[in-house]
Amino acid sequence: MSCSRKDFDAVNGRILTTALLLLAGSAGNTDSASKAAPKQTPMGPVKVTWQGGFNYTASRLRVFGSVHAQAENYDLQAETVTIALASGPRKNAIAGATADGTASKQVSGLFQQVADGAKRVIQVHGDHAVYRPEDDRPGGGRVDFTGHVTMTILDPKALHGPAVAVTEPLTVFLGRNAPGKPPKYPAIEGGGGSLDVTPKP
Amino acid sequence: MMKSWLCAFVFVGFLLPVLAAPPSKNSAPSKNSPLSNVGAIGVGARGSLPDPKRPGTFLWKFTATDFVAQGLDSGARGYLLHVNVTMYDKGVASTRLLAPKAQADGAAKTVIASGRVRALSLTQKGTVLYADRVIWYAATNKVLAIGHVFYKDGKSGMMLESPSMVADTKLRTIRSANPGNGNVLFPKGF
Repeated sequence: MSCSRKDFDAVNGRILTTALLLLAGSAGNTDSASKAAPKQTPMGPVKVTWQGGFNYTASRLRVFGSVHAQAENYDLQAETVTIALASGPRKNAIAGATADGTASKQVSGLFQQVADGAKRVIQVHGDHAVYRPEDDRPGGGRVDFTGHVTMTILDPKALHGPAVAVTEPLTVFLGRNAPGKPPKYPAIEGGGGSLDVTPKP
Repeated sequence: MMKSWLCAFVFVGFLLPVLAAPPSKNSAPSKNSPLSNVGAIGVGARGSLPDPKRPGTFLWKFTATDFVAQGLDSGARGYLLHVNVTMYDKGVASTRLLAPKAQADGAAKTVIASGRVRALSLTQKGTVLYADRVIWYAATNKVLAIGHVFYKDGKSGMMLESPSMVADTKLRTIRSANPGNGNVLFPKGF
């Protein structure tokens, strides 16, 4: 199935959004992803490595040079990452972050979801990415990708080959999935664009 | 006479050449001794360096369990063992430096600490810096940490590792000293 931008623009990308969510196993959860949800535990730990250098002042850490951020449910690579640190009750956590690529190397986010014995891998590329917590969803957050955004979904169980979307912007909602229940995260919301996908029967 | 000389030496600063009185036979070991050129070895030391810009305050104060003074006939120098240095920033006690070994230079206003050095912030609870070697440039408010450097920010909980880093005396602002790998851990993610 190959869908053009013209087909989707009329409904402001909702079809694209729904298609992506179906593939991600989160049908009908577009709205719930951003609504208030039961309190969740913070998603950690997160380890960030770099090869260039860093500077830290006034609760703001900037790292550069092949930056790699790894956590249980995501893997992000960028050239420069600036992290705002939380304090007080949210100590030991990240309050927000921005990631920037270069002309030759975009920001890359790799997210995965395990459901029904199958693992779905979602990779997003963009020139910039901004993470921020969700005020109405404690412990969760969203990553907004902008600038020449492309998304690739690998789901060997549901798809023939990778599904590729070109969209702008694209948001990945992160959160902790409840054990024993169908996973809600990561959830994806995109703007207008195109999607190239071949589902399995 | 030796005892009084040693007391004066300790309190004024053990690197000042003016105190390099010729050692007595009892304190000068033979040339073949592993302790040759050691002028004095003592137990217990304390000292301070006044801040020339802020009369009545200090750049640093230190205590040590042991000291070794060398080269008394050619210019006093030496080092302290098991050192506890209070580092001042603008007249305010800011950081405590603990080290197995340290040297201080009153003229250059530097302290060089080695062994596994620990720097503990006195103004922000829980902020610490560990390194194999620390050089503190008191006059320019710069702390250079070298070798297996670990930093923890008491306010945010951030833990950072790097081959080397530069910090201010208060350990509030840090940056990499040279290009190189590093990592930081956020236990709770976001």
